[in-house]
Amino acid sequence: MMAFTVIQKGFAASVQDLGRTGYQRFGMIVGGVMDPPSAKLANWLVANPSSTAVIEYSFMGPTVLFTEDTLFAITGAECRPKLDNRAVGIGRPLLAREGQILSIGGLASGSRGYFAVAGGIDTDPWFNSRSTYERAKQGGFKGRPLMEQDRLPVGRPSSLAAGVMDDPVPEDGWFFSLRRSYQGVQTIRVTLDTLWPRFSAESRNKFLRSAYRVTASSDRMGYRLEGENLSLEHPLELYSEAVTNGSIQVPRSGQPIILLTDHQSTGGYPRIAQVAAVDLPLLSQLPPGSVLNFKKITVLQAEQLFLKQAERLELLQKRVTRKLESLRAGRH
Amino acid sequence: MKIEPFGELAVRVIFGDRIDPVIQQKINQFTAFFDRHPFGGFIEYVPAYTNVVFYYDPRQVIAYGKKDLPAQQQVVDYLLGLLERMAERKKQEKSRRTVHIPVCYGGDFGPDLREVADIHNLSVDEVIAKHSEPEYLVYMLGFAPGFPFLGGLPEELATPRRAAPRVKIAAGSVGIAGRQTGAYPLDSPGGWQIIGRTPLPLFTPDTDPPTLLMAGDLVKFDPITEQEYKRTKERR
Repeated sequence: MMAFTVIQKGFAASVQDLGRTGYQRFGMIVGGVMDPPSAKLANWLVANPSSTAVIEYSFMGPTVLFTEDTLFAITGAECRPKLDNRAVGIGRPLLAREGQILSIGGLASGSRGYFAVAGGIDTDPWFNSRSTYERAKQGGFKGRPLMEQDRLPVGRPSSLAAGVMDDPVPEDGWFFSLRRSYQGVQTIRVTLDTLWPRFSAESRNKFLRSAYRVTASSDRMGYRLEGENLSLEHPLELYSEAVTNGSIQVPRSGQPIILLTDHQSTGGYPRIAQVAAVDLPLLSQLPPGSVLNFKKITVLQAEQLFLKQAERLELLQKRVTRKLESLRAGRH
Repeated sequence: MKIEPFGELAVRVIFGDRIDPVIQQKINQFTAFFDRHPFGGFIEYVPAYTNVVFYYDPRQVIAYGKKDLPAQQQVVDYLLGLLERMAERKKQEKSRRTVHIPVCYGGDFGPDLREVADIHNLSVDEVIAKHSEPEYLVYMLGFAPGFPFLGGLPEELATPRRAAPRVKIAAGSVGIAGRQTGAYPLDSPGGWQIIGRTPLPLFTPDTDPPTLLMAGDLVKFDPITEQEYKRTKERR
């Protein structure tokens, strides 16, 4: 069985795939990667299906020792990875030889990175997913973030990946990127929640016209924001109900919280708006201190943006696959 | 009944505006009917006190359905149709399942039992008798895997949360918070008044579904002794 060993654990590195859907009604979270387009790109670069498990890390990537020849790729936040002290690029497939050490290092821009290997991280699935569910101590690698000496099982590479692995991937400078910028004030598009009219006119105005800052109390469960206080016009008795990725809750403090990937399945705070799904991957990459503006769009616009983004990603997947096929063809 | 958008990837089907066993029953009937008639692109539903949210993938909805109509419109139309079809059918009262949960009240397992009794001018035994008498309804699961939101706590046992929350409440702990009662599936921090503990796991990661309870179940707490608690725990 193929595997690699963790030498340095980095920060909050864990096994994730596209999440565990179908069990929220039992109180379970969906979880999964915070930035699905970046994780999918990492998988495509090593000829894996989109939903293959990868390692997600935050702020500081792990260092790993390859115990066999392995095709891998790094995407997401900018970093300066080294393979045996030789700088290597991100956004492209790379071949590590048995015994080589990859150190991903600190993240420069963006706050989440992805490390994919051909064949995928092959831990036992739990309820159809390999995503780590830390609170339940299930899924991923022993239900917890990675630690030094963990030996992560790797699945069988696809035939396309195996073809590319025959020789070292040429270092000719090409790479694939999602072309995002995490600098400056970010505009996050939102649809209004049905409770929107119940917020005071002043709060509604402030929400759309003032800036909010991502605070340090932000993690995979959600981002706590800092800015103008928001409040309901009159107190409301609300019952717990389903909440989702991107729901913007306003607790009594008045400072909004955006729920993200590891959010609980239900919540009881009033929601003012919902982040458009198309902007969630970018939002999930913003480090503490980032400044946001919210821009109102309709649900129909949000759906159209979602469909367009899916089409763009499909095109990117095709381009990546064509590139891998040309690499393989060049060898035979 | 009405259907509202919940972002562009979900809709909320609303059955009422209060905590009511009749509303819960309607939601249960609808989700059971839906299980037999799902739509292409459906991902999952999450029932709560007054409504149920349906999550879907717009690409799949359009791929399986109409190409020229927004996915959300198609989902809303489909669910409205399903609601109508269900209304036309003869009412089938689905009988509820009663789950008995043994609880060892007081002692180390229920450090707040005495305080709860004192607050209500009751004896410890009276609190136990009153808490274990009703059949509670599981309105929904949420907060943590297998955590039940129960309705039916006798008014006279309603107790405010502890002023200082505990850092760790053991899995299985049974508690009261305001007008709610429930049991913790996992070790968690929390401010509930803890009156006892069950040896039964509420979160069962090796079975499908991974929880002891489901929305719509009835729960009866059965008082047991510490010895019975230990025996049940050892058998598992």
